Amino acid sequence: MERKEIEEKLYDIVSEIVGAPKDELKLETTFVNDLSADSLTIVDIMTRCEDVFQITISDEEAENMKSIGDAVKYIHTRLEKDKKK
Amino acid sequence: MTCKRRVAITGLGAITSLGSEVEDIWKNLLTKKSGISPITKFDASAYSTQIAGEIKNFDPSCFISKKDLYRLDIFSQYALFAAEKAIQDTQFSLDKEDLTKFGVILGSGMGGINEIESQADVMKEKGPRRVSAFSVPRLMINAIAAEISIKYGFLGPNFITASACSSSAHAIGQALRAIQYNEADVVITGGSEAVITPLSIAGFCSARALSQRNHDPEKASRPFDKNRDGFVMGEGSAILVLEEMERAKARGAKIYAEIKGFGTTADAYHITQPSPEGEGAKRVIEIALKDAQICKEDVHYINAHGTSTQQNDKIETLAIKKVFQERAYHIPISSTKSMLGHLLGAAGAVEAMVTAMSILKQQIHPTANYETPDPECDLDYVPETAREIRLGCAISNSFGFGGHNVCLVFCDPKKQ
Repeated sequence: MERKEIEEKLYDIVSEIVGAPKDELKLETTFVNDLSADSLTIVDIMTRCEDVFQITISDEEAENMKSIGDAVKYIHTRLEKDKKK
Repeated sequence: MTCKRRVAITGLGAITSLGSEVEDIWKNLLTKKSGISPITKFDASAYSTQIAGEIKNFDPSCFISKKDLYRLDIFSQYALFAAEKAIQDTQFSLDKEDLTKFGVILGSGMGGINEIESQADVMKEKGPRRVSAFSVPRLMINAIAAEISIKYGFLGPNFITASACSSSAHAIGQALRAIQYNEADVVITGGSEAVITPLSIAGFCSARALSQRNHDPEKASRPFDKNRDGFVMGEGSAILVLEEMERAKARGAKIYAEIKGFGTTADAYHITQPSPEGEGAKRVIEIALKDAQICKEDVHYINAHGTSTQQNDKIETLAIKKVFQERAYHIPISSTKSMLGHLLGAAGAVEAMVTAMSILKQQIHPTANYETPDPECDLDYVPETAREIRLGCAISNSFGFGGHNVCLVFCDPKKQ
């Protein structure tokens, strides 16, 4: 999956869960500071990512994703790795 | 012993199949408009019952943010919508109030059943890891009381009553007590229910509780009529704001009615059937009237539980006759469910709202679809049109699966 496609899907997921308009979301947008996401919201975003991208994200990995860009980068690397397997 | 404080109803709000404004719902009830139609929320073609009182075109976005909508089951969305309407109706300035004296006591029969069903599907299809982190806070039955307290900062008593179809009548009774005995000055009470779902309709169909008059939805809910064949599912929320009477008067609040008495009993008989002699229902009316210190002779109107099931309507009629004897034939009785269907845990709240409106307007709505007299249901069910009556005192009955009985007593404060 192309990085741009992952990014678009992330915006869809985050927009639906936090109720923010898609065009206000950027790669730099942080979950906690910019979107006031609580722990349940972050877990819900990760659960949805697992479903959409068919991957497993551990709690530690999720902990390190502070922004939408972090998540895109992580998912992209992860999918590339899976492809090589 | 401390003296009981008096309690006024100073705010109403609702969302039902007959509207999202209390005045609209009231006018529709007076003119016998039906909220019953074919089910559209899911494909009901395989069901023995395919009709319900659905809320159409519900738009809560004016009161609830998109972020909150995502994490709320529909039964909570209904409750928050109705609560906002009711709180606006009171004209409180909440920033000037002592919110430790504001409580929230609500009832629901089945809580977040939509969420339970949809997350069960997710788990079966995709496994436990895919179940939403919001599933528990969405589905828990107490979500409605919690969400309202969080939104408005109400710090007083906060809980849910669950007694099936009498849930919100119990909630209103507990709200009354909380104010009478000084645990709160204001209580947001009532209930919410959203059970037009594949699983719950299937369950009620299997229990043979629902009308199968699919070809004629508006005629399906026919309380006390000889040809009744079960109740029709409704949905929605009604919220009443109860307020300590002196406080309400001092701020010049609009007072719909005084709520004066509450009774609660059990049949201790069967999990779905009412006890055949109607003793539980009879006792609860007597207890509520005694609590209100009202004589039987002063009851001018009964808003019946009147579900349109064979059993309920017969037993409720019997209980009314046992309490009021010969006078039973002269007290007008109407069933709100004849038009809205049965809102289960929210039914008592809707009917309390309707009873309060009846007192304010000195008018009572008819029972729709009462066409063929049943020898066992031979009282005055107001079958034709709305009536203007002198209404000093009214009662509202609620009976739940499990044998839970509640009676609430409402009075016109001007006539006390």
